[in-house]
Amino acid sequence: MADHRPTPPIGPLAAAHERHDLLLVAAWASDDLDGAARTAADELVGGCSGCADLAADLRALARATHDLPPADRPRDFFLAPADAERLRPRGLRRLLAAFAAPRAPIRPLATGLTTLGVAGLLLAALPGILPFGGAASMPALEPIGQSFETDRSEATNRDVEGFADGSAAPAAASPGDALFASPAPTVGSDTANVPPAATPDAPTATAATNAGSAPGDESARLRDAADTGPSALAIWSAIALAAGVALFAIRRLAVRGR
Amino acid sequence: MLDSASLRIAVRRDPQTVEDLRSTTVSDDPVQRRDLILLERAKGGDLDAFNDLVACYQDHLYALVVRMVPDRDQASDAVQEAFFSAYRNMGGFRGGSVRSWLSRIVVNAAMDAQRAKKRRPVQPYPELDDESWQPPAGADADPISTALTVERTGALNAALAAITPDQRTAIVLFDVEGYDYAEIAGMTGVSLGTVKSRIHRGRLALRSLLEDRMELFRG
Repeated sequence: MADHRPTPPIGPLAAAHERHDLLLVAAWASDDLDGAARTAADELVGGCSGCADLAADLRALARATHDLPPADRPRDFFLAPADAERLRPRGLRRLLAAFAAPRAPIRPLATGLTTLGVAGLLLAALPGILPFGGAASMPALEPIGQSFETDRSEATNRDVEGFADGSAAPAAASPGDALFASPAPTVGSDTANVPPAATPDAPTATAATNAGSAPGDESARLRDAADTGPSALAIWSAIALAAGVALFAIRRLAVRGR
Repeated sequence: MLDSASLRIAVRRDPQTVEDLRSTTVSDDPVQRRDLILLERAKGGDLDAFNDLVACYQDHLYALVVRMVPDRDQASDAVQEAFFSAYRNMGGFRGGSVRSWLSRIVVNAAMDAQRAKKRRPVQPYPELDDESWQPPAGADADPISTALTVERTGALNAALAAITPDQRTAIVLFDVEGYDYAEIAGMTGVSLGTVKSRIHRGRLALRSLLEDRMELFRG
């Protein structure tokens, strides 16, 4: 290998080689410089023997690296049919592989659904724990139709109390109340003696009456809510929980099958 | 493997047939055309076609990786993993050079292997004392010249193994494989300036490591 090192003059620059920008010299040796940087590097390499030696050595190393002999390959890297089947599955296995893919958002989705499901079920099932009375006390969380029934029974209750006091026929508080109010009785009739069970809305009206007459009787109200079946929150929470658990199971199955 | 029917068809210079076989732009380069046809067949489920590609490039890719990952077992694993990855992601090939595509995959696999080695360090580079690493001497080779080549290769390999993985990767890709700065930047996911800096710093580090043995390289 021929040595093409220049023979720079020994001058004041040579004494200061330790302080020279060696990275600039390396860039110069790779022909990566232009403009002012190249001029500065030219001065360094031309005026400092240490920099000139360095540049020549770097070029020699680059040539030697380029000429490195190839290493012998220890074995073949062909793919077996089993590898191919594992790497590019078909049919159901392909679907499962999509679930097992590291970038597939299955796990966060499953975690989110499971968390929502558990939280929702807790809210729906344990209302007593919460300081505001729990989900059962929140109108928004009541099942569809339950608040509707409550409004109707409260209206009926007001009618019954109004007639019991001997007051005039009750005026509807709202158009909704008017719609659901009982048929107007004739004045003077003994409406107050009509037993609650005689009306179609008897159970609800009874519960509403109980709630109104006994403010502390929360258990009766809860029992009544329980009689109406699971709330919408509970149903949706259960669905979310089941979906989350199912996603976890499918992903586990897919990962095992890889 | 290279005698397979798919490869014989692949190397046939018949533009009309080629256009029928693949969806990407027809290349004038017969090697590139062969690669594209093999890849298209492999996408269709022809494992032999993919293994023909493996046969074509396994030497080149192993030579590339073994410079980046001096542990030969790890280098083998990285190459095998790269071919697995290529087979798994054939659908993502967007045309161009199959060789560059495979090189990019194998460089990523090699960098992953280097990161894994960093996390789980083992005895550093025992293979550098392995005689099989050295190039075989020809029958008419001058013994002194052969000995010098062996010593130079051993010293340079040892020094390459001692610099940082990033610097080594950049130097191997630039000096050994002949990629330009922009290609290396694309392969390694860093800027052009970073590639240059890694190469320059890596060469300075090599020179520092080989300072006492530079006469081997000077001529």
